[in-house]
Amino acid sequence: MKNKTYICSAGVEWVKNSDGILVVQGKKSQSYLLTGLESALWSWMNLSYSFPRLVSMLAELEGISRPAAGRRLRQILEDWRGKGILEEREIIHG
Amino acid sequence: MANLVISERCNLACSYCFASDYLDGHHGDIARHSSPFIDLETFENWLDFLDRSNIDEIRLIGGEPSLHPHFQEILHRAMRRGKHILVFTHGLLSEGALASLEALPLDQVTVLVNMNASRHLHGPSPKENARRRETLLRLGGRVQLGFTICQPDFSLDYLLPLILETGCQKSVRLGIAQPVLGGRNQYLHPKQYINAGRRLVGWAERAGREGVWLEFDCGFVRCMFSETDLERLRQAGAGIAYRCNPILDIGLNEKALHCFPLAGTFHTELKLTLTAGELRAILVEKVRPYRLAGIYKECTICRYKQSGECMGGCLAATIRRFQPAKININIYGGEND
Repeated sequence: MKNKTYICSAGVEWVKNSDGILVVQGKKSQSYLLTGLESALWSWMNLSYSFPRLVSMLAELEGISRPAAGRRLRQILEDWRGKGILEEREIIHG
Repeated sequence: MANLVISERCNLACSYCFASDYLDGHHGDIARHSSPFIDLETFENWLDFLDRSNIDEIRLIGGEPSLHPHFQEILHRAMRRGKHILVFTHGLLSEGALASLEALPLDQVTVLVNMNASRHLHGPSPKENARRRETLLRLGGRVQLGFTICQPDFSLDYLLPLILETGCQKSVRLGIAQPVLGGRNQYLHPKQYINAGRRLVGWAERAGREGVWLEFDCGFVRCMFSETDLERLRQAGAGIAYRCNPILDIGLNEKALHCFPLAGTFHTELKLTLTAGELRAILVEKVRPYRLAGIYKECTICRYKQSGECMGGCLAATIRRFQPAKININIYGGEND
């Protein structure tokens, strides 16, 4: 079974502004503006909410099923990983 | 422009000093220099660098630059290169330093005296004020007064009679005390800017009537003034600006710094083969992502910031708003969705 963990890349900082959440990766001189759903998810994740809890909250917020919310959440995490905001750690258990 | 740190030593202890961490050796990842003073050979190299960069003004900062044991020689070497010299000082000068500055022609030197520099927590003592007055009387038109706003109920009232009495320049350069990134200095919180702004306008009008005007140093923001107050400031002849740009501070450790408040985090190697403009561009690029924000959350939707009229306040105050991301989310194969 795959046990996947996403963690923040080193040096990632963020601030909440009127137009959304600004995420900065200082070492790469890169920034990303998160708005709407992504902004809410970012805040919750920084409050250390678990994946199942985030799925429930996302399902309720968007009015979608839990499996659909799970897929959407994974998609967003992968997107952030692709941007270099997050890194993936994968542990495969026998 | 470029600021040259010629002395890392200061004999005062201003509570708001944004160079204090740098001077105390808390340079982030910058190693401390072996001597607190620039040696003359390195100073000559810096002068060559300024020449190559087409910079005609040399700005001597510290610490307290006048404490340099060869302060007079430094002034002479800068003079020989035809530089206009700007000295940032607390104004409590030794007789030697005072005489050196007094000997310079009026049009070749400006001595910016920080009027609220002090050894004391609550501001200058009567003795310090008396010594500073003596400096002003001796240096006259070479002096421009400076004042750092570090609390909203500041008072500039004592400056006006002093300017009129001593014959120093009829302008006051105002700064806002800014936080050192990761530091411990006293600073004016952005929530206090509006109150400070209101107080400022009244004084600017009184000063304007005496032909004395204000110049804004970095860190001011447009929204600290109402439209009415801005008009009053303009009528009073104030030099209004809302900037936060790296002047380029050159430190003893062969580092070019964005500025003192960001010294421990944003700096680059001082490659003398580059020009000041090129070094500044490197530092600008390092801070670029943070520039999108400002000292207030509303800065990102402010039309004055978007147009570039206002920079959104001090970058150190802006970066202090950021927090480290703490995401650590575990996904178990999908069964828990």
